[in-house]
Amino acid sequence: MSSKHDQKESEVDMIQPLDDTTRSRRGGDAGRIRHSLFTAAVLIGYALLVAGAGLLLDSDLLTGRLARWHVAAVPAIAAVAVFVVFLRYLSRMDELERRVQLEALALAGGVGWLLISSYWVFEELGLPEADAGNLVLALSVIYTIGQVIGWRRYR
Amino acid sequence: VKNRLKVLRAERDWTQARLAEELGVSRQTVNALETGKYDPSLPLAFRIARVFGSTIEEVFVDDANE
Repeated sequence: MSSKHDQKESEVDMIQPLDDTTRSRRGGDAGRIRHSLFTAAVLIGYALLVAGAGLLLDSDLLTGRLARWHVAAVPAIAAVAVFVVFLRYLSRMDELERRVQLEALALAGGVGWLLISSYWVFEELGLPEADAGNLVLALSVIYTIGQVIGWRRYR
Repeated sequence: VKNRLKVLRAERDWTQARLAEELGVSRQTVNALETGKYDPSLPLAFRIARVFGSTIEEVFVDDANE
């Protein structure tokens, strides 16, 4: 009798409930939605920044070599901040949310690899070389679809 | 793995959101656990048992042992 009781006591004592600070940091579902929206806004902002820098460099507005390097460096510097934001986004997820992310990334990686290798054969037939921008866009779309599929599966 | 999450939650008159808050997970995760679409990791299973003041065996049942 004591062994079962001791086992129960030890199991219950082993894992402490979340403290108030952790709960508050996670902020419940509302906090998760806010943080997801913030991360999405940061990613969209970064995409716009990259597109803007590309358009600016394509235009005739900037002729100085140094100025062009400065414009090109802005997205690279911003990428560090975006990376930190994305890491924080991942760290706030629970285990099911991480699994959905992992499955979506695996889908994007797998399909992306298949797309690249398939298109490479078509390039040999004379099709234009694959644009890296289009590839990033395709991976983003597949990644988003993967997340939708994941959430529908576990809903 | 089956679980008694829904029953234990109902006994305490908790909403899924309240249980999610107690566990530090999203409400969707609680729903996926209750419907059996997702089996928790061992640390989360221990946390669930702790929240309900139970042992893991009292919350989760192995399908093979039924």
